[in-house]
Amino acid sequence: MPDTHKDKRFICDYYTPGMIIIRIIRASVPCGNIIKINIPELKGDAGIIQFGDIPKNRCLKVFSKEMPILSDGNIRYEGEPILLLYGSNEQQIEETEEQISIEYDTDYTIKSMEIYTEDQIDREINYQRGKPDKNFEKSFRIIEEEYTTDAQNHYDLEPQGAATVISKKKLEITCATQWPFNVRDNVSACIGIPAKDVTVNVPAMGKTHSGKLWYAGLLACYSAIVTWKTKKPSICIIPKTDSILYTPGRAASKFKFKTGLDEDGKILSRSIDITIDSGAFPMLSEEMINRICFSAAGVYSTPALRITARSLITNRPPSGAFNGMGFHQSFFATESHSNSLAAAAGLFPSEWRLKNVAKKQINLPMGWESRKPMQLEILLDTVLEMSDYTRKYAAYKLAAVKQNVFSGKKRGIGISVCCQGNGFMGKVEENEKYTVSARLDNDDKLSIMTSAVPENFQTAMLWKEIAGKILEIVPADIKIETTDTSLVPDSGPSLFSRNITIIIQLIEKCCNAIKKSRFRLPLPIEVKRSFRLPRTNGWNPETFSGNPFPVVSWGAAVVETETDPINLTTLVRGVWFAADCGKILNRELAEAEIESEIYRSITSSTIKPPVKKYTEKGIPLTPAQPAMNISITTKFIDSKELKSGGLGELPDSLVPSALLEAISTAMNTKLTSLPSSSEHLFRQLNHKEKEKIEN
Amino acid sequence: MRIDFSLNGKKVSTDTPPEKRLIDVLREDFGLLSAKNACYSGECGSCTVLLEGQTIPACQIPVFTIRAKHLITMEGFRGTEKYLDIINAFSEAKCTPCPFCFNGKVFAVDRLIDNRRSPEISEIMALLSDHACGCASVSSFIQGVKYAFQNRELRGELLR
Repeated sequence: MPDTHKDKRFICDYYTPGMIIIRIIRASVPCGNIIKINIPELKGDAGIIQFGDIPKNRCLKVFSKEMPILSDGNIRYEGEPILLLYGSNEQQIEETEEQISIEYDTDYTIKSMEIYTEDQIDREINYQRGKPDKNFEKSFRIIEEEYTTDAQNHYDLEPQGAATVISKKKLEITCATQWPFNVRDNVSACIGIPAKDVTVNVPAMGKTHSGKLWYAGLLACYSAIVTWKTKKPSICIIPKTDSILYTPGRAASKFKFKTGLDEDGKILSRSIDITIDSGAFPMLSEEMINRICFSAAGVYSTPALRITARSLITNRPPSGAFNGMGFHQSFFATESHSNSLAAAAGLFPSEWRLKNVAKKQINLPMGWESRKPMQLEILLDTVLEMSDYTRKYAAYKLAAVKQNVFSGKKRGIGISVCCQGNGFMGKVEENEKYTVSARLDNDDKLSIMTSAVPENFQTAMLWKEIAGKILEIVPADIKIETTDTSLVPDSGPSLFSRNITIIIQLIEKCCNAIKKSRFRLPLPIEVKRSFRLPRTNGWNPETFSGNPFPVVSWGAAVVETETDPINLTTLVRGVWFAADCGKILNRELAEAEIESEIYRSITSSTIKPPVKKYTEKGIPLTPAQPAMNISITTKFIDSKELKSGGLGELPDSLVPSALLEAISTAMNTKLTSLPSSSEHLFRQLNHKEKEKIEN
Repeated sequence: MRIDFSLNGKKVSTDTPPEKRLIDVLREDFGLLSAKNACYSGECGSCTVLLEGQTIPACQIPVFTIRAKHLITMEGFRGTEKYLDIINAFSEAKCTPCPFCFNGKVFAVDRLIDNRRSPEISEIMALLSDHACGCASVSSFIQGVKYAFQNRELRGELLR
């Protein structure tokens, strides 16, 4: 393992003295128009690029959405790139940067999610199943609640950037991206040269959490424009603060629930109103809003359902995919609401869930024409038993009600259940014809060609192991070509666990095809395979019917906490996690992934990081990993699914609601927003105390 | 300004502005890329190097302060017995830090197992918190540090 690190080069390692350095000059206001840009006299080889200087296409394209590569004079968010300043002398560039000033007309109302107008709505979905109003009338009790989640930024350790050189009259881009072909297509469109004259190489990358999906394309365009103009190698690396503040983070959301229960606590009807902040440019809003709607009602049998959802354009930086693209927000809200429903019905949260979870996919709230039985009850039983949930919940609930608030540390416990949709929803996979190819050479060595970017070297190892098993070749004789668009086919963006669900399927298909003809055809044998969705019951995004994902994973978790009533800090005592994610390819790798994602999820659920803005080469105070050794127990149940599903998004969908429920139980309150820090808990308890005194 | 110092056991010299950050000198003048230039504020730990045996953030050190001192980067540390203690332990514990945080974590572990007889879990967690990358599983990292300590102890490096 370790010495493979020796030759790994990240994007920051591509800088060499003499290269043209690019600085992005950003808007300092959230909305308005540029009146004047004051640029000092440029020294040496320094230069400026503005919107009008972009050679050809001036917009970045992601699926059907576009955003300007540089501001066209209209400012839509604070931090929007206005111009590029470049030159080879770093000190001169820094001095010039300080002298550039921009005058704005800011006589506009800032568009936000809190109060919005009709023209802010980018996409709206109105979905109805059954007769919600009629069922509300029949309901024994109706519970209405509101939940919110904040926007969440990426805190990647490594810098984001892109470098370009001209080699043999072609543009060679090096860029940390999860989607190399999108970078290639955008660069070729913006410079106005054929796609075959642009190659994209992917350097080493850290964990991405879908943060390098399309933003890398923007940086690649900057670097390509400057190199095209100067004919010199250039590099554009953004400072850490910019990376945190302006790369596409997780969208903020607001959920309003109205749920009708029968006398036994079973759901009769549900109405959900959802608002998502897509930021200034809703690049992925269609997929995101579909995924949010899909998961908003959870995994419970719901006879009647109404969902109204809208994604809004606001004066915030564009939001992005960020691990699950909506599932996280939805499951936090719907699982937290489930706890209130259980309390209203006089049931333990576990009892209520066991009573309401769907037994077959067709009974799930939206779409799903498949009649496959699901194992949610088994998952719930597994975590309940592992954690001793029922006894602990009863004890902690009683202690929270009976004991004085300051009588010692307060323990709490929470539970949640969710699913993870692997791959894109619906027809993206089929329309785009994403492909993997493999070639068995004369020396019996195998090359796998794919543009999918492995998250880590274990994923690449997994691909080799699977291919090696089919063709009976040792992993050392298998080479994976992933880093150069001129050598590999377009395998689509690497997100939604596609590397596990889709890419592995395609590698298996390629290897099986080679195996069939191995001793009948002369070597080398090369085959290509593209992903196809099953023709029957395909997902229909207009009617929300059919089967939405190639593979679905399921999970349940229990979180136990201990909160100090004096300083309101919370220690997580244990997390019990059960998953059904199809065929497990590598148990150790799967457990390690779950563990690191649980830690990350706990951090992001309880810490609201303060952000310093515009510090010179400074880093905002990052949320440090909690310095606690959490006992994590993971169990994979025997799956009925033969394919492999992803699991990296499950902790982020399960932990926040279970964690906040545990803290709420301990402190006898109800936390309804994410993240909920100690300060938030303090304000909540203060507010509750005031209300008590007033009454 | 001409600055002479020892880099990875060899006497070297560089002519550079005295206030230039050590990390930039290492990367630009000597082509040593294992220490990473991520945050430029000493917070992330990825630029860690050993100066006179102590870990320091190279992004916070002006180069004139290292005159006549001994500096070790990961390029020089790699292949030493101390390095092998940690690497073999990580391998045994199936701990796989990514190449970006690798440099900082390895130097931090080296200092931890050099300074203590047996690292406490709280110390390991504090170390992880200072190098928050989230790439490796926490339990495997804890195990890796424990194995590293055992490896070093077996080599008789630690005082009894």
